[in-house]
Order: sequence, then C-alpha cells, then structure tokens
Amino acid sequence: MSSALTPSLELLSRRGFLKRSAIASAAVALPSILPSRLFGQNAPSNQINVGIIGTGNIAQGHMETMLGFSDVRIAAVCDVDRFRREAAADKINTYYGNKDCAIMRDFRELAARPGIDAIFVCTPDNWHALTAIEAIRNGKDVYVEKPLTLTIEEGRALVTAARKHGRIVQTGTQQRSSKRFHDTAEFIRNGGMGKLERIEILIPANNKYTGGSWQPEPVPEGLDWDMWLGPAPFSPFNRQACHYNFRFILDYAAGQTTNWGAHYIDIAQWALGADDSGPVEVEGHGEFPTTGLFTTATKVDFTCRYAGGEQLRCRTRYDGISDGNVRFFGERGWIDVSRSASTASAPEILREVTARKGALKLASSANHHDNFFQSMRTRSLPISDVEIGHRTTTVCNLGNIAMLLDRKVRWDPKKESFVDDPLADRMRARSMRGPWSMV
Amino acid sequence: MPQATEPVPNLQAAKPKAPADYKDREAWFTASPDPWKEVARLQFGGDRTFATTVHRMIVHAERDQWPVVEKRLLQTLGDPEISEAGRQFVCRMLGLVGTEVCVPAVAKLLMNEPTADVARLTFDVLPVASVDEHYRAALGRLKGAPRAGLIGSIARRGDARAVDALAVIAVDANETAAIRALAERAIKKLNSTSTP
Repeated sequence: MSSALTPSLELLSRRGFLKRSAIASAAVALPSILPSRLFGQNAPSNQINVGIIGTGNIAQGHMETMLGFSDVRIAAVCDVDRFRREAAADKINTYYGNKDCAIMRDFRELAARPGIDAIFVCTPDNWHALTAIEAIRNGKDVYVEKPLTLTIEEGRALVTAARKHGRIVQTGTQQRSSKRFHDTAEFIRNGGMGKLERIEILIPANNKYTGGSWQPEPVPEGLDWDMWLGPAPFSPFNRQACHYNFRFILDYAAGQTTNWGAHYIDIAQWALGADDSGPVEVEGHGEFPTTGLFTTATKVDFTCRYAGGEQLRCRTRYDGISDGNVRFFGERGWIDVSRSASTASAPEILREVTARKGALKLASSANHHDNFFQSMRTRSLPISDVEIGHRTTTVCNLGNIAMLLDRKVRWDPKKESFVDDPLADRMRARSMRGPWSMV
Repeated sequence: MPQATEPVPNLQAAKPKAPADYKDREAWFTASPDPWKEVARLQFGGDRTFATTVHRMIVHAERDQWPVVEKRLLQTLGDPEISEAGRQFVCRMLGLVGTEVCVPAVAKLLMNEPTADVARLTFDVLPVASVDEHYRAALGRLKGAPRAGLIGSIARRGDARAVDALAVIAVDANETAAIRALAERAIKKLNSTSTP
C-alpha cells in the first residue's frame, strides 16, 4: 500500500533541467518565483514551455486552462488532422498576440523539439503510451490524459520509462485535485467509516450503442488516417470511427469503463490505499454490441475484490446523468461523492469529512495543472503520478477483460499478471501495427 | 378509420424450390450459415454478427476445447477466398487460443509483407518458442513498416538470439535511419532488463 506522502523524485537530472530551462530563459525573461538556492546563481526563467499532442476535444480544455498561466507558454501543437492543428495554433496565437506557436503533424518532431519542457498527450488512448514514451525519451515531462494507456503492459512500460529517464508524469485524473474527493479519500483512509466493506461506483452509460457505420469512406482532406490509426490494426477510414467516437471502439480505447471509470475508480483506489497495488480478483458480466462500428461495453458491470476483503463494484447508470459517483459503505453507514455533491447516511459524517481530523494526511493539490508544473519545478512526484494512473487504469482494464471473458479472473497485482489464466494473460497486451512498437 | 394498405407479398409466387429427395429436403429445411465459415467473408463495414458469435464461443470455450477451436479457426484461415477483415479477425482469435499448431499457417502470413502485421496479431501474444524462429527468419525478408513492427515484436518477446541479425540492420547503409535506430534500441533492450 502506498505512502500518504509524496516522495521526492531523485532520479532526475538537475543538469538537464538547467540546460532546458536556460533555453527558456533566453527566449522570455520572466521574474523567477523560485528560491535561488534551488538553482544556484544562474537561476533560469520560471517559464514552462508546453507542446500539445492531439488538439481535439480534451485538448481544448487544457489549452484554455494553460493560457491562464502567466508562467506557462504553449509553444507548439501537433495533430494528424491539419484543420485541428491549425485551429489550435490560431487560438493560441490569438491569445498571445503573435504567430509563434509551432505547428506539426508528427509527434516525434514535437518530442524532439528543443525548448519544450512538457508535453500534454491528448490523443486517442491508442496512442498514449507511444507518444508519452517518445516524449520521455527526449527528456520531456509529460501530462497524459486518462486513461493512462490502452493496455496493462503499456502502462507498466510507461512507468518504467518515466522512472528510467527521471521524468515527471502526471495522469489526467484531475479529481485528485478536487478537495471534495481528496477529503473523502482521506476520511476513509483514516477509518472514518469504520471498517470499509464495499464500494459502489456508477459511471455514465455508453452514449454510442449500435448503429454506427463502419462502411469505408474516402479520407477527408487534411487528415492523415494512417497516422491516426497508428499502432491499431488496419481499418479503412470512417468518419464515425475517428474524432471523439474513437473511445467506443476497442482498438482505440475501452469505452466508459476507462473514460469515466478512470476517474471514479481512481478515487476508490486512493481511499483504499491501493495506489501501488490493485484487486486480486475481478468478475465481469457486461454487454457489448454484436455488430456495427462500436465495440465497447454498453453495459458495464464488474466487481473487484481486494486482498483486504473490500469489494468494488463498477456499473453503468441509466438515469442520463453525465457524471459518475462513488459510494463507500462502512460500519458507520455510507458516504457518496460525485463532482456535484457529497451525501452521506448521516450528516455528521459529512461534517467530519471536512473537519479533516484524521492523523493521516493525503497529499493534496488545488489545481491539477499547477500541481504538474510545480512538480516539474521541484522534481517531486505529482498528485496523479504515472504509477497511480497505471494502477487505476489497470483496474479498469481488468474490468474490461473480465467482462469480455464474461467470468471471474484472478490477478496478482505484484507480478501484474493473471493467476493460472493464459487467455486473460494474452489480453494484457496488444500487437502493434508496423512501424510502431514500444521499443 | 381507414386501414393502411400494405401490399401483401405473394409468397406462393416466389415458389421456393425444396429438393424432392428426402435427405436433401431435410437438409434444405435445417441449413443455416456456419459462423466459422462466414467470418471468412467478413468485410470492413459489413455485418460482424458472425464474428461476434465466434468470439463468444472462443472466450467461453474451456481449456480442453481450445484444440478444436484452433482447428476451426485454421480451417477458416485456409479459405482461399478469405477477406482481409476476415483474416485479421481470425488472427486475433488465434492470438487468444492459438498454440504451436497454428504456427505454420500464420508463419506463411508473416513472410508476406501485406499480411505480416496481421500475423503478428497472433504471434505477438503466443507463448510458443518457434514464433521467435519465424520472427528471426522474417527479419531478413521484410522491409519498411512491417520490418519495423517486427523488430518491436522481437524486442518485446526478449529474443536475445536475434541480436546478431539486428546488429546487421543497425549498420545497414541501405536501411532507413529510423529502422537502424530502432534496431539499436531493440539490441539495447535485449541486452538489458531495464527497458524501455
């Protein structure tokens, strides 16, 4: 089980940081907010230069947030869709009042670009591990959107790469930077509900059922479809298979199980103290479309059992609410937390949550982006460190595998392999279409 | 209220031709498509219900039933008219339950550049030692993107016996810089356990 404190990251190269920061310093001189003792006499500029890979739906929010940071500069954008990358650059240039934002099609060019300190990976899930690892190899810190990776094996490879190269990697599970979720997890960890018995998670329904067409269509001008597909098995272009909808096709993502599950299971993992571990058994019985374009579960229902006996059930909600929630059941009753509200079986429970009287204090963050940038500056682990993101995504992927197999699977969270289950073990990884690989 | 006037189909006019022979007639009544054969006709954009049926049969099959499942998949793979989408599907399924038995058939796909990536859908997750031999053999045959993908697969499987062949690629002036660099990284990975 993980420590409640954020350890410092000692693997990082201070020389490399100074070198990169010096480049930034030469470009724009801003007052440093860092104590000079951190960097000696040649204190670099405090500005962080960011590149964004993937400029679609989720990247828009990141751009708008980062444009509000005076000490962060979005210096480059990359997308395989020319219309999207140009629109993103226009937006950034308009805000800054210049034409400095670099535009590129190939993420490898951005990863290797000098002067970029951090890269935001906002691609479809299919690409997360490859783009993030390429950035890490090139000495960049990385913010990876959730779910961290498409497969369990890719998640471990990403963690290994981050540690090997000493890079900061923040997972985009921003609920960890919400006081509501933080205080609830801390309350549970301090035994506030007494012995924790079970956790119930509801996630929004898959809003792409059957009926999507996968009839081949001409690739529209401006889109590099082969690059969009990347490591996924070949499939001809179809508009419904591409932007946004990718998340409902198993070759590119894993549906609401990872889309929303990554947020709410993450809070459960936090409350369980399982940030470096996971369940030992998962049973799943979902429903999947039998034909058409979409392949991810339309009904999610899986139950995890942890070594301590706690059970976590994650299932689809059908009330049309576009949010999840996590409800913890313990000896004292229950407490339920979502993005909009906290409720409990008794009002005093909620008062105790906000009072934060427990001895164990979980690491806290008031802003997910700022936490990432501060982690870059201090070279300490961020609130949603890559290992945490990997473990949460693993739970989601275990749920998906159990549902696809329509049965129970046993999992060894230490070895990160299934127990006596060769079929499930083959689903930990995927083959990558050439030229792509994790090498 | 007036009734909607839908034209009533004249079923008699269709004159279904049931065979006169008793056995043929019985077969005519009971015949239905075999999903294991139908998946060979799977098209991108087409009905994939048969593929779903086969997938579910595979994941529900008990371990001692895998040999039969594998055999049926290989029969489908051997269909000379198999479609591109059908071949991709079958190779994925062999990746789930395949054994040494499927290696020769899939190895033929591996040696052919247009189908090499599809072959790796099976081989990459197949815990069978002979796969490594076929991967090494293919290393000298494939070019371009299929070769790059293959190098990644070799490194992932940890086949240290491929290092010599990779070393040749890493210094091959006729090879692209990207693949030479990839070969170098693969060698490093194979020589080290702290990867990627």
